Amino acid sequence: MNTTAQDEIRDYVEAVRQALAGLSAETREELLEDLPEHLAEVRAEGSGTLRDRLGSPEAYAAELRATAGLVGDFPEPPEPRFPHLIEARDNALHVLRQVDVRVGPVIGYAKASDFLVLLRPAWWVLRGYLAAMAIAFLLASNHGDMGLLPRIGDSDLVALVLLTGSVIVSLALARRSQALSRLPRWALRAGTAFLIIFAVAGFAGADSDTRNVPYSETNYDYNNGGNPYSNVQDVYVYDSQGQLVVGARLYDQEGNPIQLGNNYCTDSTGASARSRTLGYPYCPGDAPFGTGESAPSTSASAPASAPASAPASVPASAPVSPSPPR
Amino acid sequence: MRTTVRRVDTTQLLKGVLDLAVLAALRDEDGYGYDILRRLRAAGLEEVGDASVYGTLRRLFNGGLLNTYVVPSDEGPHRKYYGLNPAGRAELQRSGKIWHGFSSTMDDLLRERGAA
Repeated sequence: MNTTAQDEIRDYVEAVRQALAGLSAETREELLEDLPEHLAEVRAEGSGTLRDRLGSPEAYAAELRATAGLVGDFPEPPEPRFPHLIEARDNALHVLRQVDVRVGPVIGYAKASDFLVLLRPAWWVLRGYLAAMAIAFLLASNHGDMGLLPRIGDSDLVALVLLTGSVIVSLALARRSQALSRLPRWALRAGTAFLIIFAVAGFAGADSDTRNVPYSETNYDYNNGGNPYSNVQDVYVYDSQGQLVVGARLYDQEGNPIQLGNNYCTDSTGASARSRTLGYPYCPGDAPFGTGESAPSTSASAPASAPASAPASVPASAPVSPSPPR
Repeated sequence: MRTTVRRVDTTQLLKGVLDLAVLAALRDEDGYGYDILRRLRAAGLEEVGDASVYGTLRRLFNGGLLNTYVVPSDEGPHRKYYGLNPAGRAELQRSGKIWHGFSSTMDDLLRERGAA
């Protein structure tokens, strides 16, 4: 037996060994233990290479596996690990294909996916925008105050530069993604998944910000459908002379009295008591601009009995309150 | 579930009786692997492959039914001969009976129904 034959046998045995991967090492070695000697016998018996006479090493290995099987010792090639999942996936893909073909004609295309493919460049641009927003969000100190541009440090210029750069990178990636090797491609997919989650979260946040005007004292009640003047506790009417009108009555266009505030007054000692005045103001002593006696337009000698001169200047006026201011 | 109507073919039948065939080939005379393959083919089992015979010999040997010895050769490699030991002969007899019973049952069945 010459060297060439030995090489041939060794190569053949090695190929069979490769094809038997999956068996336990012990079982495999036991099967292959005598194979070189056996093949040497075969080789010596006739002419032709081992491959010519025995077929491919893979076929040989398969036959060996099938016929030399000790019970339980030669497992079949492993089943797919999650047959149910794979079946479910196949079913889902089938349904998707059906939908694809059915929906397509409705929107004027052979398949719905034909239309979606046309939208790809739009997605690339959107992806660039989302990436810019994500970068700005991670870098920005004030997350809540970003607006719709990827501002960093409140700078519109930075925002536009970042946005343009991200879109260009996204477009360039789209062109090259086909040529990417396995790892970068998975990284790209993972990044895309992150952007989609980020986008959904950002959209939800922006949506709720638009719907809910931030809380403030004045319109809080209004938003709750309440009275916009509910924080009004008293009403002070001044005439054109700057004199406080006492005992004013307010009516709306239907002649219904307008009720505002409450008629409790707090005096200087802090004690609260029911006002005895009829009409506004309930508490003349609390008048924000004084009662008018010291107003520059009026004489310093104006009598304290302001009400007496006031009635004519109160529009749609109620009778002057008989009770004097406290 | 998938159902298959399995047509009888020699390769399938052979799987069940390969042990018996190899034992029978060794009944009268010891032999080495390729020699045994030639005997089986000469007897009419053309479909038997070399790997089947080699694998079966390994299995029967590991099962304690064969003894083995190496015969040096002047021209060419040494040859590993296999022969039946007493356990092998007993197994050949037992399996042979089972086969005879089975094959005559099948013969009768086919003959009665006029299929053969």
